[in-house]
Amino acid sequence: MSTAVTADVAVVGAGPAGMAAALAAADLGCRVVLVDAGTAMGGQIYRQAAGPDGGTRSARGGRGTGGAGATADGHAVGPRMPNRLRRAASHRGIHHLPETTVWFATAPGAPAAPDVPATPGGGPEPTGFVLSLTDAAGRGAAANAGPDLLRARAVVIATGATEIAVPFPGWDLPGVTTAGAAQALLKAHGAVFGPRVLVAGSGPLLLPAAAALAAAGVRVLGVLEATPAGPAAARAAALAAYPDKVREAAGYARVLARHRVPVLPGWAVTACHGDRRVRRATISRVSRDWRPVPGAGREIAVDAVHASFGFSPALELPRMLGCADVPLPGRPAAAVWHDDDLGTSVPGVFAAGETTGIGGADVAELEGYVAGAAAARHLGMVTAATLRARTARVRAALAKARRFAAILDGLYPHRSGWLDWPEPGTLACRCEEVPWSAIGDAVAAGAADVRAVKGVTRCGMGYCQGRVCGPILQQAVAAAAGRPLSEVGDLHSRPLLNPVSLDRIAAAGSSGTP
Amino acid sequence: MSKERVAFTFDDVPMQALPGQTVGAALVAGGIVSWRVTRSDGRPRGIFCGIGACFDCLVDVNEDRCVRACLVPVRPGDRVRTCTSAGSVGVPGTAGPVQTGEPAQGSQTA
Repeated sequence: MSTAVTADVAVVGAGPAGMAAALAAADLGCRVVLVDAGTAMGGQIYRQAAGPDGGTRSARGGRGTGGAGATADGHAVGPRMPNRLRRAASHRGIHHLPETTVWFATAPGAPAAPDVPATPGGGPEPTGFVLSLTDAAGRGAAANAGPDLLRARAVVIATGATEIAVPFPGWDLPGVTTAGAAQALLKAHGAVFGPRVLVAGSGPLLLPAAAALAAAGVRVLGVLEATPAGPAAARAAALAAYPDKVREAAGYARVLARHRVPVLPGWAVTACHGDRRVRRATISRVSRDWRPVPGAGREIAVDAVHASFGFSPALELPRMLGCADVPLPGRPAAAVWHDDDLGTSVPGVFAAGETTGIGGADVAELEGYVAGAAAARHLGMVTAATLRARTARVRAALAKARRFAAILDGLYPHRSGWLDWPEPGTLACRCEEVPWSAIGDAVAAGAADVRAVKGVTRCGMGYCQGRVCGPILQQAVAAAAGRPLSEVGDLHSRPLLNPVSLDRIAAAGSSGTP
Repeated sequence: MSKERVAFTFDDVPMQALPGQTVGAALVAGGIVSWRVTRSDGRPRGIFCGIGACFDCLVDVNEDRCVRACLVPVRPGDRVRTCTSAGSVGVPGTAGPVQTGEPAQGSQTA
């Protein structure tokens, strides 16, 4: 049974960007439908604790805490959702669709989605955007009581980003996860791997993730930040204009110091070992380019390794709607192109948050307010002058927040030395079990871009649709072919945004009325 | 505390979850780090990305095959099973979850 909902503005993603966009549009009189994969609003950054009192679980201190930020170490282990965003949950103009994901989308004038009846209810052809919805976890129709279709006159894309992982021997052993996974398990569910873990990789996520784990009683053996300390310390002086951010970082450092967690700049986990789960990790000093320093590696016993190498904007939905994107310099990633009002290259489609570039929660929220108001302006709810006036203060704050994000981005450059970490048999593609050596072999045989290598090796053809191996493949192919990252292509374009079962497609196609 | 817990089974073994906890979180908290093997080499898989992107954590829950353990909340009485429908059937000696046998290997903090 197919069901449809309509909205003035469809907002996809309920992190700070999506919540802010929904609020801004709804405050200007738009009917908003807010689609999100999570059970509660907040996204990854303001992930709410599980349970009937989710998000409000009180601090109990020490080991007995699971709520985000609500521990004896207070805000040091993570930000709490601001009250100004909590208003989204009770706003009459916002209809929230939790545990829901978009698997197909069409813009006006584009060919219809496979499950869109040509003339719904015998009426005229609908104008506007059509988003096909399904249960976020992939459960069958019985579990998905929500609508199948969302029709909207404008769309705000706030789908965030996915963590960049890089392969090393043993990176697919159970117990080796992204840092974000460790944080998600802990923040929402009070569950941890352990008792002895390493947090490794590069980027501003490592310290808060490690601090949260340490505060929860996990023995964090070390935080291995691949970027060396020298240049970072010099540029950190630029952060003096952001005292609240300096305080936040100092808070993480205090928690780590209290739990005697060493922070090691210029170090990396370059291999993991174990039979059917990780038992030992090779840690090594690395050069400025992240190449292991010969003779500087040693093995230590661990129960888990949580590794993160920055983020890649989620471009599946914007690509499907035809939005142009721009490469993020020096990174195996790209971001949605946008104008000053967060409008994309497709009229009626706006983007906010990490999809426009990795900027963090503050940038995301501020962009959300602008994008939501701009969507309302697109629908004629307010004049251009009103839009300008209403968003003037937000835009000023956004400019400052973006400057901070740019500084942070510069502190953690993405290097290519990890290309030396995998062995020939290390998996490049976890889903299709494509070995690392196959990538170089394919390039040597003449496959010169990501799509060609994917076709030859099956790297990127599995369940994750290239979400994990896409950045890896992009960087590996660029290096092997001697071409710039931005010229070898990527794996963000997908015929379906998420894997769905054939019976789901069949049911959609046979539905006679919306 | 005990009445706050949600009872479910994993491969017929009784387990408990916090209300609202995902299947993946409940398994990790119970010391289980893997509940599927890959179809070619029988490599064990569990939580990797934790946010629904990587599909490593596929698991069978009741009648639903191959759902992402990191996204599906545990519901009372759920029958959770090693995911055999992701193509891992027929790999000798590799089926079945990896259990640590050491309670401290994973833990519930709340």
